[in-house]
Amino acid sequence: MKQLLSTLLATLLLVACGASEPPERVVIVLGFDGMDPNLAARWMDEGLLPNFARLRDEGHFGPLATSNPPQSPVAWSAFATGLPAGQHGIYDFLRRDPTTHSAAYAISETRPPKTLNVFGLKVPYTGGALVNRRQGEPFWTRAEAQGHQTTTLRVPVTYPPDDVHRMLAGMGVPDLLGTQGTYTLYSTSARAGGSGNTRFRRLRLDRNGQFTTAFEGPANPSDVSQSMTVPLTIAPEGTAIRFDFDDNAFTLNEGQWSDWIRIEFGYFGVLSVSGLVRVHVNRAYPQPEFYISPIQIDPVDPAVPISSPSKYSERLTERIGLYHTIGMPEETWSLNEGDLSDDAYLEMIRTTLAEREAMYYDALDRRDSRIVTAVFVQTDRVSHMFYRGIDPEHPLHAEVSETGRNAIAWIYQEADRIVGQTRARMKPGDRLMIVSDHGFAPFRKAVHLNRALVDLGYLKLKPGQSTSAEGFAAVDWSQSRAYALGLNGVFINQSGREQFGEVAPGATQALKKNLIRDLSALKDPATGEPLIRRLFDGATLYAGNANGDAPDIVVGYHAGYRASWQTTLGGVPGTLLSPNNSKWSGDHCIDPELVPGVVFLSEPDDAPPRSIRDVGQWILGLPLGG
Amino acid sequence: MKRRHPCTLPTLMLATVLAACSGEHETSRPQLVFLGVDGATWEVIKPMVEAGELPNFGQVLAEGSHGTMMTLGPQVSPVIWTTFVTGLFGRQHGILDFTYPYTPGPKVPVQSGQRLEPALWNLASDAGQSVAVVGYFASHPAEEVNGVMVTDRAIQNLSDSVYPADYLAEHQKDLNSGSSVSGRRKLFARFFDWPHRFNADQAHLASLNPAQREATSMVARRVDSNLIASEYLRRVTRFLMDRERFDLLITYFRNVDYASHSLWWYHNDDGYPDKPDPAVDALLEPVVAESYRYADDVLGEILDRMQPQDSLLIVSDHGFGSATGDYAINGPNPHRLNGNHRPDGIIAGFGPAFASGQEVAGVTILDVMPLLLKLMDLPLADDLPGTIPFDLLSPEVADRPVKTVPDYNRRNVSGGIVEVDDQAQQEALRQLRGLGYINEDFESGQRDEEFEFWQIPPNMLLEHVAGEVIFHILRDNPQVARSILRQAAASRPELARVFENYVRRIWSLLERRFPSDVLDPGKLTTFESGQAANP
Repeated sequence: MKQLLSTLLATLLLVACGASEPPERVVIVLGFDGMDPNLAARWMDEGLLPNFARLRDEGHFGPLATSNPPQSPVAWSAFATGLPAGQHGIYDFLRRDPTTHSAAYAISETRPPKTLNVFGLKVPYTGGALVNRRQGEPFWTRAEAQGHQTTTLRVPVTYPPDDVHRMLAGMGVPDLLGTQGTYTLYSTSARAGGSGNTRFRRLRLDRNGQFTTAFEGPANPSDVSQSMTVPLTIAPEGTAIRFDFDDNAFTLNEGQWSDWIRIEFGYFGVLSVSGLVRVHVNRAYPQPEFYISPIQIDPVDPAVPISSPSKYSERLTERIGLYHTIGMPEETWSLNEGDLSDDAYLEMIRTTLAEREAMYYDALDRRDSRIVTAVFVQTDRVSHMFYRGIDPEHPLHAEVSETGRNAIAWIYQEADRIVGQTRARMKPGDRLMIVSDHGFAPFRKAVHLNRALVDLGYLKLKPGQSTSAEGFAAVDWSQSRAYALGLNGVFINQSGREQFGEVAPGATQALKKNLIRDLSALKDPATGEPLIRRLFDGATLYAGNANGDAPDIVVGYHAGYRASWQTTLGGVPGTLLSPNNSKWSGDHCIDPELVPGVVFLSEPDDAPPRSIRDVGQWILGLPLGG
Repeated sequence: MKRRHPCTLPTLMLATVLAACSGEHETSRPQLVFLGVDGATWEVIKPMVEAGELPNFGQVLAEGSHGTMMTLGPQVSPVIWTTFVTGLFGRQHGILDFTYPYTPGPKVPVQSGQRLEPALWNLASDAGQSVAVVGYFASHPAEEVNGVMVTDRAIQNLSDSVYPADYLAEHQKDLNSGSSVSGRRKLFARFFDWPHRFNADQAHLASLNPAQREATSMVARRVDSNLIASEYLRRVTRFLMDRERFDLLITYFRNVDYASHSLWWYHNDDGYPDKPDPAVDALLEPVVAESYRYADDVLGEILDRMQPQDSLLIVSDHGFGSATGDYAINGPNPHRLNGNHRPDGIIAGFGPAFASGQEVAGVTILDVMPLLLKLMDLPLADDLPGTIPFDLLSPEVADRPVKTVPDYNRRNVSGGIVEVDDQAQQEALRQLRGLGYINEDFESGQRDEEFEFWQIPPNMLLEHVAGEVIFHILRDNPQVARSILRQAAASRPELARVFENYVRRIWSLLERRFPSDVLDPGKLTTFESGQAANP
């Protein structure tokens, strides 16, 4: 009875709002993460990007000032909320936990689920509390408050999803292990050493070439010290690998990706957690090696909500099939580590691109939202990983294949094709805006900023130590005044704030002045060129300091340099600089003036957005009708 | 198969309950014997077997399976023997040389506490299997195992050299009788066709003719003292086998290596620019062959004590040849050390766990631990670089599922260095010095400082790096080979170019010893072209 009533009510409301009538005009906001104005201009001039060129010629094209620091989570948060970082509270991919000085993920938090103790078993009765750390109100919820339906697809820092007409969360959605993307590599070959994002498992084939193992999933809710597992067996079929993976049987040849494989981790009676993986065979028999993607939350039966309404993720699969759900599915670490080849990686990019396109076109074709916002991150991922192909000075440039050298131009052309498809779907009166959150620059040398802080006497190592592992393992906090963590941040070891703080709050300003002076003077020993273009005082840059995560100093590197991976996690290697010998060869976490994003508009505009922070206000200023 | 069966009190009680202390062995668990013969090569063994000698090696060859062992990297015995029982490269297991520290200066012999990773005996003990370890390289001080450990320095009667400490107590005199004056004479009479005395005084030397004096100088304090040690270990091995059964018995002999270092020229003068003095040659020519006969006797005693369900694995860490050409020794007295290592050792399996009549190729020193773990039904850690040589195994063992574990989670076996008295250290070092392994002087005191692998002397570092790189190239894993070279170059920029050249040099030496189906030249070419594109 109750149900009937609410259905009736809902129908009445729908009729009352007239939402079943297609809106007259749609504003389409298309994001291409990391699209660079210089590369876009070059390839438009060369005729590679006809649809972008048409927008430039008929509407508007210009640079779009990015956030400081110019990192995607910071910039997309500014895009959504129109707020400066000091108010939206996202300052970096990483934030520091002042009680431990260790690095934590800045974008979202999963607080542990509450559990009931039943006969000694811990049974979850609420899901974990999911918190988006971004403050402020995004333009799509403001638009909804004004009575406009909106669709928002895969915009970074939208997890957990907002309660709007339609939303699929983007960067921030974890994998089933609760991480931002842990893949598994199975190989008959030994590995030099693993990394945090990799689970390496050795294939110990029996003499018939078979191998049976238990593929590990999330922790068992009834005993968190144990992983839940599903059985995985491989056997040779010619040189191909035949997989038996939790009731899925399939055979793959070398270089082949599998379709989606659904695996179910059972943990208590009929309770189970479902996940999706894809498998790629790097090497066939006799020495097989294969990659299993991070375990995606199953959109059909999500372990945690990833969409709004929560059933949307499932309904979408009925329209476009299964798709990647993790926040950053094009996980770059596998390519960096050589656990996927350039070709396999680009194939994965093609797959995620096709998925995003399908859900985007589906949303456009429905015409039930006044604002459709969709972000494609593939431009950013390909630029990060294949900048070596267009930067002759990158240490790996010489070995990049023809495909690799053309990869960035290719993904820009794919973006252009999507623009064309969008134009084809647009009705008279619709508006199209295309933005990127930042541009790109070469990344040739990694700066060990904590090394500089040690050498300058701001950070002290324990007696007898000349270097430190990540997590500031060898740091003597009682004598340390400042430390670097994240991609652009420097923090004062401030008493009353940091657990082992030793600088009095009154002494911070003077210390920052000295730090800015000393860090500005850092030079590349090989060339004598300065490493850092500008340094910013966090106190002025981040007025408000939402979340309390703001760095005290923000480092704006020169193009070609960037904080080393060790620096981001609190490591102190032996040298100031290391050549960047990794495939992660382009970056943008430098002085924001050097890496602006782009803005394209389908119609000329007297006051186009100049900064990523202007976008939301500009959209809400359009006549949305209805 | 003769066997005495003493029943200790607990066994007696248990046996009484089971009413099975009857000397019947049908129900006993199979025992694995791992016999190490340092420096043994098929190039000596096979011709002797064909000539009707070495009956026990003959039986193993005829009924079991065998192959050539590839030693990659430094042909330095403690490094390789530790690789055999850890499955890891020296960089990982931490035993890098005969002596410590690895930087120039006064040194002491390496100790078990310097091993960074668990050995087979630790893993077997943890799994509740019983083990006995006899005379193993770098096993002093004795580790606490589920069984018995008699270290390589037990004959020196050092404290900590036997576990449990009193295990051999009342038997030591008997076991050590080979080093009594009469024991030595009897032992030496077998090897030396002249009245050789240990530590001979001037009067005795004066009683010898010039050829005998020269022969004496070639064997004194090296070949002869090792024979005494070998005889002790032989008796300990017999004693243990007669007294108890173990799931795993490891025993190690070094007399072939000592004799081959000192006397290869007399054994086989092919390749040398000149011939030895005929009178001296007549005395020393038989000693290397006799060392193999001695090893064959040891093998025979082991075979006699094995039961039908038991199996035996024999390995050597490297082969031998003349110290000429590529293998010439740059040292103070090359004449004294006229034999040198070769990268091809031996591996042979015998008993029901092994296949019959198989000859295998391409087994490396890294594959021995995976094989031993498989034989013991223990899990293989993911980070062991080697693989199981299935062709050596019987179908029954080969078809058992392979157990794996991500890692052993058991580092730093005993940790720390124990103090050893100066005289004993001097003696141990003198023997090593005699083999040309070390030149540095002994200095009293303990050396327990941390070491950084990448900072060891260049000649050592190059060998270790080349060994690892070549292994990974051979196993189609150029990515790891490259990452090791990159790490090496980053750690020692002054050697950056040298590393790659050294890999090529070692590869070309290996090419002269191994057929191209084992050492595919194409793999190096592919690797090098990859390197060129990836500076």
